[in-house]
Amino acid sequence: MRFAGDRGKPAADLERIRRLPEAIVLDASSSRIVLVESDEQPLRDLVESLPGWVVAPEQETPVPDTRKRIRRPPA
Amino acid sequence: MTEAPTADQYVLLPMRGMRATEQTLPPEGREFLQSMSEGRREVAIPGGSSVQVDVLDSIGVDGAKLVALPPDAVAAVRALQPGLRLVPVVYYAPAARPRAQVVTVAPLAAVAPGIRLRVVSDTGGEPVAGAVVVAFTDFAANEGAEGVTDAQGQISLALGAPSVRLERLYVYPNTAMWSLLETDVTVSNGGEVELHPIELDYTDGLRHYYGNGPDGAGAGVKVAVVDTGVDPHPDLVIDGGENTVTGEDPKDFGSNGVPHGTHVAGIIAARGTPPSGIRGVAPGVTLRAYRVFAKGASGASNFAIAKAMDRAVADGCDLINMSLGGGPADPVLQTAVADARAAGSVCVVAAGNDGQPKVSFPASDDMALAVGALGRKGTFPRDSSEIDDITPPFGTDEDDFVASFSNTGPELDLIGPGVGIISTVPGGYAEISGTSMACPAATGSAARIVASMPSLSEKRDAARSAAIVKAVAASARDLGFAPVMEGNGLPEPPE
Repeated sequence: MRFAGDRGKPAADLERIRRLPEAIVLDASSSRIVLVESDEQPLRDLVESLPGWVVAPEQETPVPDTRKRIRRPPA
Repeated sequence: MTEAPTADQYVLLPMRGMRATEQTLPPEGREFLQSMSEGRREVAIPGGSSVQVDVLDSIGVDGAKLVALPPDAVAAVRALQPGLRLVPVVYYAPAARPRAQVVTVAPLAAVAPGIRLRVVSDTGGEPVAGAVVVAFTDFAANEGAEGVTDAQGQISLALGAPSVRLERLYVYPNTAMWSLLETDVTVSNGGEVELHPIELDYTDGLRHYYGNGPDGAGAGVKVAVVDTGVDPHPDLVIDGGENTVTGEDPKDFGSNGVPHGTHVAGIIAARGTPPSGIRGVAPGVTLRAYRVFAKGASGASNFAIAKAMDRAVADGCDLINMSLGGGPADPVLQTAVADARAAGSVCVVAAGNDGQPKVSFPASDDMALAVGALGRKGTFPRDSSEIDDITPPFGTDEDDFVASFSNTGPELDLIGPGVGIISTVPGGYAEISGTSMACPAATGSAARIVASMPSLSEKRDAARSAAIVKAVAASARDLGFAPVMEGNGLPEPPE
């Protein structure tokens, strides 16, 4: 979850995230972004009432590589 | 009769929100948006020409506009009004469950006799350890065998016979050597493959276009490398940084074991002197490293990337180099890119290496500067794997080409040298190709442009980043490719 805007994340908003049942805040060390382990829908529901916040599932970006790769052994 | 260029639909809107205010847009951008009432408009662009823009709909005078314009003109309009976003119109469809598909898998070679090869240097015959060897028996079907050479430079490839004709044999060494591509070659047990050593005063693609950066070039400009971490190297001076991977030591912003970030850093800021070292484009910049890939991991989370971007902005970085991307757009990175711009920092992002007419995210975000990869014939050995990257169309100078792997599209802003680029890696030097290399080349050039802007406001806001984007776009040299292939062109630093 990330707070977009000119300032850091509001402490009261973080407290509401922490109070969400069955949500675990894993990393809140950044001024704007919070890593939360939770089902997605409760977070989306919460964000509806937290102006300035966006939520997205954690996803991975691979190290870029232009090298060719084998997909299968020789026939 | 000449056909009118095909127009695509976009939403033109302020960097933040749907309406222009004093807080969200400088006066020039507000005036431009207000002038775009419904109907056909001729918009003058740098270079003396104009673009036809159809304003189809509007959310009020100060609000977002639905416009239609040729994809070729997008980069020019973005450069003209860097405080505005030009977002492609997206049509959403019901999220139907994908149908199941059958994937054909070739039978495994249960008993596959190995062919033992040795990879050596062609000068002294020394073994090349750690080289990735990729042997295609059928290139189109991706069939063959691959592996990594051991300390003696040896590798055993499970090719099913003691002697095999290969359609293609690629060798990618870790350091010190050029890669190799051999086509229609027969390999036999006990054979040797020879690689050419890299000479550090070689004129590769980077040095062809940019030379060796002069002492102090880019001084006063702070550049972030958001990547796999940057290792200490004799040619690099690292000001500091942070590791934003959750659960790891924040102070450990050295390499995660993958040389990518150290290579990227050298392209921007290496301070060595050939032939004992190498030079980047802007050796005088203040270089900061933000590691977003966990130790030994091949993936970075959007959380770690956004956290690194926020940290880089807070640390006062003017430019944020992001040689990474792929996957769906996500609002976390989108807001991070927009907030960076609002705070006076510009994200320079690799367009991606899929060879597709679609720029990867987050390069595709209209608040980022997307960079494609340029190649130059004669700047790598004829038998290196880079020969694969040459493809038409060619530029005004027919030795220039857009690399075959480089993603293209109207979101492209710039092009930079990205084929066979020599730079720093942990423990030495290596040549690598990719938009990952083109991106820092453009970043280094942009840093020198920023350093030459004495009138640039010290106030870190949207007007400052817009001025940077405009100056970089204005510096770009058209190499004769379509704008969807090169954006505004190759950014050129001041003399």
